[in-house]
Amino acid sequence: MGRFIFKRFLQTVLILLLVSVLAFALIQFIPGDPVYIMLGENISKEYHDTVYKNMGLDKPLIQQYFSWLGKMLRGDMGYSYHFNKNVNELIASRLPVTLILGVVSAVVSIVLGILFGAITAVKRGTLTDTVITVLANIGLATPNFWIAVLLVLVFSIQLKWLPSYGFTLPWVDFGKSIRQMILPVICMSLGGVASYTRQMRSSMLEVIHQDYVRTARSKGLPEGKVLWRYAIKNSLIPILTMAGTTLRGCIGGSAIVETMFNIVGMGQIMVIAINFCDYQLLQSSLLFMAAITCLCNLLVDIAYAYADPRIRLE
Amino acid sequence: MKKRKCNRLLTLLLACMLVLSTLAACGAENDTPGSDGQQSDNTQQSGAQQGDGQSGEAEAEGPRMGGVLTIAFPAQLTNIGFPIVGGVQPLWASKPAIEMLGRYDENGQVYGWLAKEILPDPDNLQVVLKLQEGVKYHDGTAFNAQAVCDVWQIFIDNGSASAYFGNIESFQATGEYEVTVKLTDWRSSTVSNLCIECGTMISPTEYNRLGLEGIYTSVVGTGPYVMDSYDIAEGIKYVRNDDYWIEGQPYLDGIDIIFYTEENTGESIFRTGEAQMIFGTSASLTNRLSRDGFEKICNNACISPTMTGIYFASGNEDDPISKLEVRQAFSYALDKQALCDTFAEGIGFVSEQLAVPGSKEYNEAVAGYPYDVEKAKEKLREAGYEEGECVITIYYQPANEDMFVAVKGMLEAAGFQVEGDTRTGDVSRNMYGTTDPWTCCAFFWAPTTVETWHLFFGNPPVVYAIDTIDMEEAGIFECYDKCLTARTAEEQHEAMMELQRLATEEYCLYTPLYDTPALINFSNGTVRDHGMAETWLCEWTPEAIWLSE
Repeated sequence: MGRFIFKRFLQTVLILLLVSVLAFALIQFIPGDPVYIMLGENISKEYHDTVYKNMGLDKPLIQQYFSWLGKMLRGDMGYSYHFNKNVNELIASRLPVTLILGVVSAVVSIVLGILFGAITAVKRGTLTDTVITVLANIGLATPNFWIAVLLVLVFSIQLKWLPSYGFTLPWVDFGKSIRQMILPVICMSLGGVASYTRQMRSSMLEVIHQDYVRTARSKGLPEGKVLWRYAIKNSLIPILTMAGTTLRGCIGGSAIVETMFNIVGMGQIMVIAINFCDYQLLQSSLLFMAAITCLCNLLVDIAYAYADPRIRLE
Repeated sequence: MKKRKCNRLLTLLLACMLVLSTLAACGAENDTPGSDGQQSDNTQQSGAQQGDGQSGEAEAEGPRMGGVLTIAFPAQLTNIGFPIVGGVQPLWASKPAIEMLGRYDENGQVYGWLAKEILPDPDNLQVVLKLQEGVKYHDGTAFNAQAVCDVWQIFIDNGSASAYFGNIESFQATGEYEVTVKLTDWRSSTVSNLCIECGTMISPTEYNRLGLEGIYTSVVGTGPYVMDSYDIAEGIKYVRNDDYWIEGQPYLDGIDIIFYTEENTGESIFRTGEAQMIFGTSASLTNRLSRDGFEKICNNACISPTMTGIYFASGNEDDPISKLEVRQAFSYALDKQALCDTFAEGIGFVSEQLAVPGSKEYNEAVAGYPYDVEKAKEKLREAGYEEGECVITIYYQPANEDMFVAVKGMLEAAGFQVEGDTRTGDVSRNMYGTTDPWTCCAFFWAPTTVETWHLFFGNPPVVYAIDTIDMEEAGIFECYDKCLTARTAEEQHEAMMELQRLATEEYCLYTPLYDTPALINFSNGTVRDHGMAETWLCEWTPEAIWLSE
């Protein structure tokens, strides 16, 4: 197991190094002076020179890269000239928004997905199975920006039940937070629920026809116990891989959903960084997201290897 | 078998339900208040558009205390605390906290605000400002003559005010609440330069504390609302200034400006009523909201729309453009209304001169050259050209290919032969520093303000009508100089009217096509006395604003 983790860790470091090169190269590919592109042509020469120096653009390329990487490793992600803030500070203030939204959506996706998946597998061929499967297919095929528009039209504009924008942290105003979270969470989790349902259904169908499930039934165990202890638990292994992907999505945020609901989280920060050519923010957040993604992948791999020893041996 | 059939039927039913619910949701968009769609352009209408008796009653009752006005704003502002450099949006958004020395009245004349009296004295080349007494900045410091001088100095030091202080010799506090400004020469724009353009009275103390970079995020002025929080990605929150210098005002508890990046989101926020106003709507959103009967706030006479037109410039006497009849034929040949309908996305309007009907620059007596193909042909013949003989080249940018094609078609129908050239940069360069004959006929986009005239008729003209005619002989330079140096509003108005007549009608130095509004806001009908777009693009009256619901 230790060897397996070490191998995966080395791979992660390698991937991160590659991403760092790409993120760094981003600024080098821009034609023209990045400072003028970022801050506009109207800034004074003195201010330009200060920013140019602060960004380390006056140094040789290799030195620039290692200096930037060194700073990143020390936890200094640079300065956002658009937001007029340290990138660390910015990410620290926006990450909770995305995390809360993402984790709630992920939990909703996973719980409902497993539940619906299990139900459809157990009630295969029945009306319930058909209804849920059709809905899951629709959920998978529908883009979330369209769902967002539809939800706002129905629940905010027509019925006026729920707010159409914004995000409040739960510890600031719990009631408001829940009300503001309902539509984005539905929007973000709908696709997830559909995917988990389909995955769980096929996985569960495979398991419930296994000999050990039949044996359990023949031993006279109650159906609920058979399903819970033998079928569902063993069907969860592929779900674990999917959960890793979902977890990454939580941190990365959904730029579309955040933009549609005017929620300023990590997704929207990235969009703003692109729109306003805030290179330091873009570079640093790219690397940060890549690091989080790699970390999630590593954790999922370890969890997977723990759950299924065959993975380790391979 | 029966079971399977039943399942299929149910699936079909579910799919139908989903489609129907989608259609219902989309169709219901038009059910918003007052969907009669009778809102006219160019009008700032007060009162509820929704026709509910409650709003009418509220208006009769007068201002109500309390409530928070929420405004959806389509941008993330980066320099709200130092609005002189930021253009319209930062200036507009910082208005609840930062006031000006003066304001424009409905006739476009400056009257005193933080400067309670503005005393221009062209004969002695000076302006004296007498300030409101007892006014305090939100940081507790006093607003007085020294503060005004400090603010102007800050603007000058940062290179933001050089254009406005060109004729200012000196300024000094000549009393605790009196500032005297000495001038090198008199210009009609002096008062507006001092009291409007450079009249945003930020707190000098706050500036000194934070420096230029810091002040961009801190809005400290003397206004009716105090900045409570600012987040570049989320918006600005203002709360009532209990120490405001006008007793009994402001009426609201606060003003929230919410930034949005996606217009659909802004529209949702506004339509749900979560925001009572939406700022700076695009053409498509304007059309949707107008159609649904929301209150459109857009008075073109005061907010200087952008004019799209074609200018004539020629340094070559043999070129057709040098002949007045050809320029007139050109202008008659263009169906401006059709161009406006096609390219202004439904929010434009046609004006036959470089001014908006109803504005102080507009000359009622100037008819211009309304669309008339026969007259165009006649003028071409007068100039000595038979059908297809008059060859002109129009310069345009590739992005405006469609407009060029439309204009070309119209001109060819009137007997011109038209060629297109996309090297607009080369043309501009050729116009300067060369004695070679050249000619130019190209599109322009410019605000309909007196300042824009400098491009055409200034001494020397910056670009457009350069050398097409002898400006001196035509009296255009003299007229333009009078506009700039007039001592009274009447004198200036007279000169402007004459200039409009000479340039637009008599010498036909350009062809105006259509105007598009510079700013359109919408209200859901509950916002009263907002003062938006009534006198100036950036003006509104946060101290007087109140909500009827």
